[in-house]
Amino acid sequence: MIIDSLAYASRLRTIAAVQKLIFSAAAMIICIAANSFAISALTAAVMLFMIIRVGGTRAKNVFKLMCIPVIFIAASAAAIVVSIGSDSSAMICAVKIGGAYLGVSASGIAAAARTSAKALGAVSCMYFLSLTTPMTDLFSLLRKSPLPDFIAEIAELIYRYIFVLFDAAERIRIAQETRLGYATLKTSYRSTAQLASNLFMRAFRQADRTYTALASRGYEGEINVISERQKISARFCVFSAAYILTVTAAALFAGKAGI
Amino acid sequence: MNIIETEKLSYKYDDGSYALRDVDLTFEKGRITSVLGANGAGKSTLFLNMNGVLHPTNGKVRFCGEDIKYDKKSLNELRRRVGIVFQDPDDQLFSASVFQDVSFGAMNLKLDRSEVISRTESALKRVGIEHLKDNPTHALSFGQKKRAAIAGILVMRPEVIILDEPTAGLDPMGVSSLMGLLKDICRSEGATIIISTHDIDVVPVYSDYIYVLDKGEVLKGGTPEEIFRDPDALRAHNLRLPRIAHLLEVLNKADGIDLDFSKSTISAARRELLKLIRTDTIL
Ligand SMILES: Nc1ncnc2c1ncn2[C@@H]1O[C@H](COP(=O)(O)OP(=O)(O)OP(=O)(O)O)[C@@H](O)[C@H]1O
Ligand SMILES: [Mg+2]
Repeated sequence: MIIDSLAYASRLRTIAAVQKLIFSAAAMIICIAANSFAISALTAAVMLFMIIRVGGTRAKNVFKLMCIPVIFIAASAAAIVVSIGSDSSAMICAVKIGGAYLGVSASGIAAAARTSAKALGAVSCMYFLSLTTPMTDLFSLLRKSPLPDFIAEIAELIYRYIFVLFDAAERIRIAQETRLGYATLKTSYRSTAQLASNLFMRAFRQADRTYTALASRGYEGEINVISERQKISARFCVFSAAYILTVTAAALFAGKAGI
Repeated sequence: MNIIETEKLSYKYDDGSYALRDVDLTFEKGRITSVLGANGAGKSTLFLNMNGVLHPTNGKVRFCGEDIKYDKKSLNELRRRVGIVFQDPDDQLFSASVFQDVSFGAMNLKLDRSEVISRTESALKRVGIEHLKDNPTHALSFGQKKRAAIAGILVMRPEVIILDEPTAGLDPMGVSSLMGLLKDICRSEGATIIISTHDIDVVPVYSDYIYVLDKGEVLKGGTPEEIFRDPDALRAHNLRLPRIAHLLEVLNKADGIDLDFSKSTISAARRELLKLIRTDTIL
């Protein structure tokens, strides 16, 4: 949820969602296809620059969010670095376990670095989109896409009512807490169970009431809303095109040079 | 002319309790009618019956002289003409974007795009939240959500607007600007307004007619003066006089001053008091 409020505050928010989607998708594809450390690092750097310097999102917040994928990437990198073989000559250091060697090889380190950088580059492309584009803009985009409308409708309703139910859960929790519902382990278990079952009931009733309210505004099975047309930014178009061209060229070069 | 009438309307919830019992009400076209009643009196249930959301257990609801029919087509037609603003705005606001939510009802009227946009913008302005149109719905305060919900009905320009406790949760200025807005819509566009409220003090200022409900039954109907003439009956049903009328009543009963305490608006009370001062009966 914090992502969404950062997106609302971003200076890049006003750029049409479709432009940002194309930009980040293209950047991600190039990053993955290039399979090069240099290109991945470049992608991540450009995306972070766009989010922080151009969009004006606080670096602290961005890095906090980045921590989550970084932990996963580090864990998988560790698995790539360590290899098992019957021959320890290619390994920088190794321990012998039974008849095999468990060790770290130079090629393993290179592969891990490349893969991690690639993952990081791809993740930063995703973050670029989600930290500059509020969900509501993405829903509008989804509506205009050739996908069936109900997908966008369901996504939007879920998104909206997550907040309503979160709110309800929070209120129930506070109400319980102020009456010592979480004072001991035993009451905590009981309170949590009550919270869950209450929330479940509430969700059902909410669905009922929401349907009623929709019906009384003329709902006939389709959620029609107006989405404000976003103006296409010429500057961002030029920037995207320039980025895609240069980075593709750089990727070809990097492929030849093997970096 | 009566735009909505109920005849021997009864409604029983699934648990077997009657929320409405033999309710006979008439709502006159182009008027503001308030429905008063303590918590659980049946106001919300009544409103949901009047817009076809709940089906009466017994009795009838008539719109423009004709019984409401409950097939899909008639209901859609009814809902186009009778808009309802729910008590809890979270029931009504389904979209994550304020602008989109408000536009929903207008889109369902199959208006063209520019008309939808202009109606949406003017509705947002009328309820005073045009600066929030790009905000996500979940980031609004309760009162702001309430205003957004009201705007969502205004865009449809229904003939009848039913508002279930529209003033609850609004700040004092918000209450008077909302009531002023409703009065304006009523007078200039000829819309019929039906509201329920616990805010007794604003009732005489804006209401042409008042119904008092208690435990699912109609106690009384009348103009504000008729209703507030009998304060003890109101108190017996968990209601009270407006503060102004209460003051006049105390002056009348405790101090024996000859005052008409059914005068419950500031301007009427002022006239009443001035009359006294001028004739010097006060001393
Ligand atoms: N879904 C429901 N199931 C069963 N009983 C209900 C339900 N909703 C309301 N009731 C009962 O019906 C009666 C009337 O409720 P209603 O919500 O119409 O009152 P109200 O006048 O709107 O009250 P308030 O001023 O608190 O909004 C109450 O006694 C209530 O307990
Ligand atoms: Mg109610």
